[in-house]
Amino acid sequence: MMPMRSLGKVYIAKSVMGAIKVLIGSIIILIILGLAGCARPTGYTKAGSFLTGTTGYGYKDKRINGDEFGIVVLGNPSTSKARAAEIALLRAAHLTKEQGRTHFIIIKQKTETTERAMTILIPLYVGGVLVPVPVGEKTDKEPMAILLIRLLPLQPAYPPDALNAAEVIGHLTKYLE
Amino acid sequence: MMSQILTCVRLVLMIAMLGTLSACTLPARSGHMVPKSALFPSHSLDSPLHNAIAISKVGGGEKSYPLLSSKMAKVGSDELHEALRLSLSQYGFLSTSDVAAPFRLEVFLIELKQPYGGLTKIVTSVMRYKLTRSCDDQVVYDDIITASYMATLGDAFDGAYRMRLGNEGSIRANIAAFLRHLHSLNIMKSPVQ
Repeated sequence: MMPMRSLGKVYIAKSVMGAIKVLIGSIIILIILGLAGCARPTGYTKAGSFLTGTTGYGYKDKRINGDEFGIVVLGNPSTSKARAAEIALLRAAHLTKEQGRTHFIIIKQKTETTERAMTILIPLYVGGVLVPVPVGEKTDKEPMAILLIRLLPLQPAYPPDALNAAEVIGHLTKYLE
Repeated sequence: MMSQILTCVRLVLMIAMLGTLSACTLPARSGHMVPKSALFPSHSLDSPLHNAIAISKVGGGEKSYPLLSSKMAKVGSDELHEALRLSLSQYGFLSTSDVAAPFRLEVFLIELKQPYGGLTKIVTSVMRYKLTRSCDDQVVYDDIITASYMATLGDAFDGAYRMRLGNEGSIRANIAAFLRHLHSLNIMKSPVQ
């Protein structure tokens, strides 16, 4: 039979150990979240959506009319504007090939810096369940590249400002994909 | 005691999840995408663009999905068309005739960048504006305009409503930028002979 004083000590020791476990757990989660924040620059990838479980970074394109397409690339905060613009150019080249063409011209191009507000969450154990608690917000800068292109019909000779899709793919693929 | 706390926490989490999933999508309102009049100088009546522009095409808008999350709140082409019509009309650019208008305007919403979560909703719109002179099909203005709007928790507590404010504010800022460009545009109604 353990004396009452010893039982008290055991209880306090267990409580302290529990608190330390919670603290260590929270620190590990914070480290994981921190490492996840140090992402690599965005590569040549199609931008997904929240519903598909992807990040939303990458390229998107829309047909404006006829042979005109709009391409938008959104890069993560680790991506430079120049890289975003190159991804847009590579997408333009792939799009040209997908449409059965060989050359395209750039009608307009633009790069911008956009902002995204991120909620800072701290994971806390409440009743044994890990609950993310919002403690503030931070704003990240993300590059956006916009490219407006027109696909050229197949012809024997192309204008000097036309870009050869195969050449663009050859130049950019290696270090963007 | 512990199981009661657990049940309580689980209940709160379930309610929060259901609330997120069932947050109604609120489509953008055309009237809220029209820039405020105070932003511009008075429009010159002798400008070649006065009552001279017809909207020939508006595209790129997407329909909102009412039963999905607030992230799916979009701006439809019809709402965008109406917002442009109201804006051009309010600032004296809209032609009374679509057929005989000296200039035709094509607008395309290339991208509407929305946040996935967060309390503050920063929405960025990317739009292409193309203005063509009708008599000779000369493109007198062709540009891409990007504009952002930040809707905070102070603007609306409901996330779906905040997203709607972000969408509308971003389009409003975009149209405002275009109207400013129109004010400073130096063009002629017909080509110089």
